[in-house]
Amino acid sequence: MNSTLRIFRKDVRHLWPRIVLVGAIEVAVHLAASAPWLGIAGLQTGMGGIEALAQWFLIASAILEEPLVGDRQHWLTRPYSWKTLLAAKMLFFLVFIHLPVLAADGSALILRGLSPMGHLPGLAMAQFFTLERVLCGAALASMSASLVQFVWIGLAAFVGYVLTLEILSFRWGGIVVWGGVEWLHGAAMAAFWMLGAAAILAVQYVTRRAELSRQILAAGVLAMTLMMWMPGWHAAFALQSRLGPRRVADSVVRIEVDPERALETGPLNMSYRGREPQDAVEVPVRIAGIPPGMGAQSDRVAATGVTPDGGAWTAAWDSINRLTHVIGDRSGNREERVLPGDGAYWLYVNVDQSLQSPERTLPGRIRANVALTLLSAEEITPLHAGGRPTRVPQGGLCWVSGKQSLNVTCSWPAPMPGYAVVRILSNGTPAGFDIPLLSALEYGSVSYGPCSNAGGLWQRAAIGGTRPEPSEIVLVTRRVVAHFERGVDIYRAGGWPLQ
Amino acid sequence: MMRTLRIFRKDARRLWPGALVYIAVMALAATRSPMNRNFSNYSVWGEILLQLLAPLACWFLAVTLIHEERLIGDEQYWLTRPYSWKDLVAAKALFLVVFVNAPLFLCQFAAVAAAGLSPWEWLSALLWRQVFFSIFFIMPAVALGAVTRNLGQVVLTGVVILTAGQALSGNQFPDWGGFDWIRDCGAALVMAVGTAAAVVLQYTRRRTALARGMVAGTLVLAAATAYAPVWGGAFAIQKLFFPGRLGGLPHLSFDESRAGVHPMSYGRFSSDPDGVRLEIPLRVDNVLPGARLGADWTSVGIDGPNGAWRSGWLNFHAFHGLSHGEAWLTVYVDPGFYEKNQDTPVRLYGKVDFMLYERARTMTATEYGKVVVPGAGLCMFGRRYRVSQAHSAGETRQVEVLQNTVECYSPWRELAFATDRDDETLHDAPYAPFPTTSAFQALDLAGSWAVDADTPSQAFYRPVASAQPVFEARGLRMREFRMP
Repeated sequence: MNSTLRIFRKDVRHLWPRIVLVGAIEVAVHLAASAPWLGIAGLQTGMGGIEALAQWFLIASAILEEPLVGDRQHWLTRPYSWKTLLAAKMLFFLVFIHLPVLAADGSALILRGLSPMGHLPGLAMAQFFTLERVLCGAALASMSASLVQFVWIGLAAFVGYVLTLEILSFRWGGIVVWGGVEWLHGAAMAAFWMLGAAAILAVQYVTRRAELSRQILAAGVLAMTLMMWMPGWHAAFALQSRLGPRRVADSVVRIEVDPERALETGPLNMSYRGREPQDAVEVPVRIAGIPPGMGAQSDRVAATGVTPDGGAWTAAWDSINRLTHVIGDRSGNREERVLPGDGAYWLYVNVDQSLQSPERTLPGRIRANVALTLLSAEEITPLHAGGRPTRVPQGGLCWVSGKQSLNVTCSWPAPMPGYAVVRILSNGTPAGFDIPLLSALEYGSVSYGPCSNAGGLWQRAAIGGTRPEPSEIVLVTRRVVAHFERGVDIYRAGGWPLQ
Repeated sequence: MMRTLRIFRKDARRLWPGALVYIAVMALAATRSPMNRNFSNYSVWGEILLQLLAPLACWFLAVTLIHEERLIGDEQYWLTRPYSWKDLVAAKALFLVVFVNAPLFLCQFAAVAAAGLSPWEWLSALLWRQVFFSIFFIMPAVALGAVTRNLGQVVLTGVVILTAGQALSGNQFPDWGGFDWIRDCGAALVMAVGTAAAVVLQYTRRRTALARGMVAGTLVLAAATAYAPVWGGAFAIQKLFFPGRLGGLPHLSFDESRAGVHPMSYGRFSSDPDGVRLEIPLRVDNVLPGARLGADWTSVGIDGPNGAWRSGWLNFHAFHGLSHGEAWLTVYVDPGFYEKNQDTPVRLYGKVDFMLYERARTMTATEYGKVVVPGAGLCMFGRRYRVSQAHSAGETRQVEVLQNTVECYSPWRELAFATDRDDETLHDAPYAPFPTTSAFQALDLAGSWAVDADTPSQAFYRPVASAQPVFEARGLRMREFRMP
């Protein structure tokens, strides 16, 4: 233990200017993320990358105090073991990376009038993702002879990663993003990275076989790229349902086919869904059992059915499959995935293009499973327009800026609302005009977990536009109540025409 | 020369792995044409990575190259070698040209050819991009390498600079509109002179403290130039490149016949200044048939019995609605001045910076797809759903509308685009006589337009002359011109 502390003290003496700089950046970034009214928007948006670079620089500097690559490792002749050395480095990272991040996040919560004890899961997850960064940086440094080599190996790994992504995306399309449960996807990848990094550190500190470590890195980069397309959304949603916040009875939200409505009145199969439209089935459904005032958010839908020749077809858990609330007429409509109460909606299911049906009609029996998130009643908070921050539900703060323009920036500690829009109430539009701020769509910003989708405690969201005059601006939020699934048997005598 | 080549070969032997990583990044950047952008999240993320990777690879290569023969400290072995600082500097410059500039140029050249454009037609634009790339990417890294002892110092300095830059980026640049290229050139000039002076000082005298001060001063001055407010003198520079021509230039006058009339509709933009809004009717004469006017900065003054008010040079969509010689000028007057002088006769005068455009190309899109338009680049005609706001029965809602779209990609935005149905002004049209971008990608989005589905033809316009006509009106009463 004494040797560990001696090495630790030596590292602190050598590296204190870097420690001070990196610590200042960490504190500034985490405090700025919680304080949108500071007006240092740049510090809030782009500093994540700079913080990561600064932390990696400090991590590499500490590891390279006793380099593990080369034939002049002076520390091998000293009276301490590799375990002592590794323990000293880990202590260094604990004190100068983890603790400042924890202290800054905790202070930011206290400054906002929130209890850190109430956000322990979020603080813990932020530390988990910080540990991923620490271990990866340390592993990379352990296989480098110098800071220059560290940079080049890191860049080469990055280039390899992007190249592999590029090649695979030609074959498999865009990477898979898990919407509100993306934090579980990120956590799985972080755990994988940490395992790989721990293996590299073990190899380097025990045997110093840099070539083997570099091979592990190359394999890890490849595996990590493949994980961008990893399946498992449904398992993640099931886990999220168990985690809560709450469970709901089976009587809450019931879905059944609405045979009264003609298929021709359904939404057009429009291209504005982020992807090219494919063959699809659109089913009129009726939903009952949504508690008064609450809403239900459609996350994803999966379906199975039979083909005209007796085979089976499946629509996987994909964000393009969903329940939609169609607003407006058929020619100029808009779809929303938040169902504001009991009523008539449409169930959209994309059918695999490999399914060739010359009749353009699928047999009438389909089984669909719908993943839903129950949202609370709307909470409406008028936003101060004079540059003062406004407290909003769930520990959030919003800040309105701009004179002719309208800029609204909000930040929440996780867990954040499941839905948030900025509503502009002006003389010409008494019903209000909504601008989405937080959304749980595939590429949206809502995380259902105890941390943001990027792994931090804080989630920032901003919108900009032209301000109609005169106008009142309010923030409309809904809390996440529960996640659950509902099955529905769909039948139509004449079959389902493909749209 | 032999010594220079020897040092160059030694650097190449030692730094080839780094150069290889940089060239791989360049190749990756070349494949990521903005035309291939799609809705997948990966593309956006990959572009962000490239924006980080490409500069990092370039900077580290340049810094490690300079650190091969360190300039700081008392153990500079190279001082005892039989070559001069000139040989050393020449060898470093040769390395940078061969391993940094040349790969980038070749990647950009290949990317332009792969897009179906003739790289030879765009050769001068590609070379200009190399000039600005060298000034904004290579020179600062070389200067940083010359005033630091090791990579640790470079990273520390870089983190401080990036943090300051990021904090500044939260603020908005004052918009110079079409004159942006002049400000870019000013920043480039400061950067080139300052960094070159610091590097020469280090190689000749190795006076590190002074050189560090020069690098810091250069960065501050370049940032100050990049954030400079609108400067009226920019027009004189613009005029040097686009002088007047035979046939005369447009001139402006107050249109008394429309006094008290207001434009039918004209919305407010987020860039509009504060104040009481007046709409002044103007008459524009001496514009050749078929030509278009691009309006940029405006400066207005009002002298009244109870004081005087000056707007200073402002850049917003002040000049608008030009049709058959009639136009409108939006003026936002200080509310206090307006209150004191609204009902008394005042003298209003001002200037507008114009660019005159001639029609260079006309094209009719008979079918959708990619079309090479000489001078404009690769244009893609297509149809796209666009979310629009619809107002009906007191309610505003979002609807999706189908529109024809035109997107042009090129190494330099030389031409402006307009349809036959547009009014006679061009907004946000290009002014620059050469490209000032320093980006890694070869092709930029030169313009994106949504046009009516049944618009028959589109035209491209080339800037030919700049003008700054003045106008004056006496005896106005501001209340008559105030927008309700």
